[in-house]
Amino acid sequence: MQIENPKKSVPTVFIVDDDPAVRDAIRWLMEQVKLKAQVFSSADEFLASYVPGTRGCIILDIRMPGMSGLELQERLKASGTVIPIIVITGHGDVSIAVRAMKAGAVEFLQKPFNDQLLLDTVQSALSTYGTIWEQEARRQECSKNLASLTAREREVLNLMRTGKPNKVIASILKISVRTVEGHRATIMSKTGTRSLGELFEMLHTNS
Amino acid sequence: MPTKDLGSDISVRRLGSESRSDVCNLLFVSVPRNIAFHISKNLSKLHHIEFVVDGNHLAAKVEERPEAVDAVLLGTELSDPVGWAQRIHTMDKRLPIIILGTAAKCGQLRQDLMFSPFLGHEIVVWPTTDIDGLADVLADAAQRRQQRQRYQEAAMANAHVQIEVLPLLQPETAEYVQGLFDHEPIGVVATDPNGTTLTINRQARQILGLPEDGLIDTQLQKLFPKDERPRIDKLLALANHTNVRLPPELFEFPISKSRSFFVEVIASAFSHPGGRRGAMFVLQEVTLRVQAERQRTEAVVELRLIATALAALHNISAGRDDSLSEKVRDFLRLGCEQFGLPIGILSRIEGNKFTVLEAVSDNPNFFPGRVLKLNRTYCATAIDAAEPIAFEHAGATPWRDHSSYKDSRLEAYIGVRIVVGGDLFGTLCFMGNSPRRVTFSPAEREIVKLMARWIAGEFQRERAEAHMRKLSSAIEQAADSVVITDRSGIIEYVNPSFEALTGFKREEVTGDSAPFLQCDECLQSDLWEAIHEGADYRFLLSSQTKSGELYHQQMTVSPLRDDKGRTTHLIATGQDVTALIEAKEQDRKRQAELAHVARLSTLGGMVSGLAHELNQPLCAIMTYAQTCLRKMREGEARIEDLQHGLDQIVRQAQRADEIFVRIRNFSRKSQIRRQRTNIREIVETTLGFAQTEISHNNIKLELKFPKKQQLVYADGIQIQQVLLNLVRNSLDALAAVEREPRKLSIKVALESPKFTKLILSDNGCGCPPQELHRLFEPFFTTKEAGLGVGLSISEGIIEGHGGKLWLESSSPNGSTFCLTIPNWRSSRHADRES
Repeated sequence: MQIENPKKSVPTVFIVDDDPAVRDAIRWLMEQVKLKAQVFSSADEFLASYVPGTRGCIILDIRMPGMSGLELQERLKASGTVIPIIVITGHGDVSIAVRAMKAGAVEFLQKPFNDQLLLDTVQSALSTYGTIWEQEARRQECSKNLASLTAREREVLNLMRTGKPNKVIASILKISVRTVEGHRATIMSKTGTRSLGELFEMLHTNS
Repeated sequence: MPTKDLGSDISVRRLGSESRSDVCNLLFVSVPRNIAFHISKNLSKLHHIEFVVDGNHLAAKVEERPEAVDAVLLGTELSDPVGWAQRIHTMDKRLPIIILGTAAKCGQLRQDLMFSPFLGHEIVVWPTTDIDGLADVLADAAQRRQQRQRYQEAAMANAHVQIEVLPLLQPETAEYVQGLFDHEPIGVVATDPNGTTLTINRQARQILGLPEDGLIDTQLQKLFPKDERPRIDKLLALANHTNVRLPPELFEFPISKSRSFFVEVIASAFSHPGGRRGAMFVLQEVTLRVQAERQRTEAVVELRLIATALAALHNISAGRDDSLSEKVRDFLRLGCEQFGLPIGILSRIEGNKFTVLEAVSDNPNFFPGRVLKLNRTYCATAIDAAEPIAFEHAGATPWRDHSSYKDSRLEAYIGVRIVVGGDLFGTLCFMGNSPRRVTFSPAEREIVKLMARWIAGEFQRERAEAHMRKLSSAIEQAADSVVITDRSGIIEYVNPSFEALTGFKREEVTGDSAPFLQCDECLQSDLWEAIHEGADYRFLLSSQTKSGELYHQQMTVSPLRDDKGRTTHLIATGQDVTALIEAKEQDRKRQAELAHVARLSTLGGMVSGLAHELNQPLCAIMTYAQTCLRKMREGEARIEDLQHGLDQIVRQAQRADEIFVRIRNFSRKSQIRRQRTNIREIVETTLGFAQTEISHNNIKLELKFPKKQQLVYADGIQIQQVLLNLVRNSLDALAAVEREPRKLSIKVALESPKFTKLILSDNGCGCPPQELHRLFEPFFTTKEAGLGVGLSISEGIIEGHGGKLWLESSSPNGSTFCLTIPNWRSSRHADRES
């Protein structure tokens, strides 16, 4: 899966509601806080235009003609799409709320909702998912970097992970200490890490 | 015919008669062929028939040669035969003429003959009904004619000789006598002062019934019947002693015991120049005239009798103060007097029971109340005939064998049956123990019949009056109000129930327009239409009593028709249904309440859907408002932005309001108010309630309306309630199935000029067959949440509108409900909208 660089892309708030007024009102609110918003009148419409991996969150009405909000949620989950979903509904129906939360909704809001509450929920969803997305991005970058290491460099890295000093590594590999140091520098540079600690953390994340 | 040519004339005649002595010439004028044929068949070859087309030809023929004609037959097709006969007889008085006449005309023809001058004796009216005898009559007449001609020739010669041998006679006398001969049919007898006949002509012989020739008694009086001889002697004496012409005298010549013929005799004196005097008697047979006279006299007597009896009858029947039985007794007395009989009885006959109702009697056997056996009375015979039974002397006739004769020796009897209303009632009879000398005349029979008829009429009237009294007291005492009006609706009568109900007295309303005509116009037009067709018209009338209270009546207005089928009166009966109507009103109120509860219940069942629907605009409003506030707070509110938000807020508030109004209207407890309503609006408003549910459940909705706006006469809310109920049932039925697509269809169509039909169908689970019959039962439900009153109330509402609601079909593949609602018709409903 390809995820954009979180630092480069602005997250989008996807609003899926069959009621045009509600849709428009929420979009207006989002735009007020400088969030990019996109509206859909049905779950099908959303699925048709959504590019998996696009960062953002979904504000989803549960009761809609055609595919219901819960069904959409299940579809996304099944396809492994990682996107926070805020469920809004006119019904204070507990069973629907539980199903929605179980299916991984980040929040369940009852219409009409407090604007601040909605914004906070959106922000929090975006920020929570921002960390997730960043870690994920780093992990992906790291494994990419690791993949670029040569066999000798990978040998050196594995010995480094066991905490062996350069001398020991050189003697094990029957190479010079200087050569080991050269490999170390290349590894650091290839993985983009500045310290040993950083490198190890990355390896940990990627394992 | 001049006297001097007499001799030569005779010789000519003789020659003439000899030349054709063996042939009779008959002239038939306008005789129908079939009759002529029939006659000719019965005539010998010696009779020669000549057909003459009309009277003019006949006259010409006779004028030309009278002696060549022996008899004339005037046919039925000749108009004015008597006139033609007269004309012929002015030429030849001895020519026999037979006038054929139809049976109906014969009497009149005879009458005409009797009073026609210039007619000879040989004239007969013969009925066409007796054609068989006509040939003989014709032959006889022709033969007589020929004989007479021969005889006349001889008599002429004879007279001539007599005149010659009586030189004393004045020539005038001879001429006179000759004239008399010429002017038959007058019979002439001349006598000397002693009554010895000098001459007697053939006509006189015929009249007096003497042989045509041969010796006759020389004494005049011997020629007359014994009873009349003194009178003829007296007449002779008078003639001898006066010079004036004496008035005619009538002499009766008996033929048999009961028959006579009559001869009118005019006597006059004549004197010879030598001083000898004589008398001349002119004889004319006037039997027909006398008979007619006698008949006339009898008729006058009868008429007088009837007139007297009628006057008496009238006096009795018109007597106002008398009771019927008194009148009947008067009748009986009158009858007794009229018929000269001592016993008069009015009887009642039932089976073989003969009861004397009223009696005027000298006989102790007959008194009112006496019961006899019918078959032992003469009346047993009288009841079988419409005409009276009458006899004067039972003992002299087979009536002597009757048991009544044996029982009571009643000799004279006249009786007739009395029929009342088509049934035998009894008899009216008059009797006497002694024979009656005079025969019961037709007039007397008529009088008895008249009396019987009057009595029958009285009894019938009495029965009818009793019947009417019963009917009128029934109307007077009826619990229902009865109003009788003329055919335009003006009150002529009201009964006490009407007075009691309305508080108006009879005299206050008589002449007014009937209350049932104060109903609205469309009802009136229906009423008059029904009356015009002769039908009853039923309707509910709401009106006010004198004191202003409302009352309700179930009215029936019927036309009363005369025997020609014309409506003469209207009869309106009204049953007071005020209590019933009030109870119904109560019932209606309760029903309305129940319907209201049911509506609320329906709404209750839809709360979640409605809440969702309301939540949408609320949510939008709140969001817009908060965003506006946020913009203002953050100091970056641009006017256009705020305006957008506020516009949206207003729009969404309106949307919410519409939903509220819909709910409020639906749940409001209001008076039922039927009015002109667009059925499409009703359907669309109803669907507004269910829209969310329909769309969220992915139900495909199909709507079909007529192109033209369809107006119904209905209470919109109530119809919405019915529709919503049906829609909700469908939604529930659809929720129970997993099929795609789930469909709900509503079709509106014009069923008839009077009704709009609405068909609602779904492809839901339908109604279980075993529950179908209970579907419209109140408090029957298959749903956990339902009250079970939906369909029964819906049915009540639709029926209250005059329409129908029914389940057209139901299966596991869906169900279809239909309902009809009356159309709005300006002519019927405009007035009632209020």
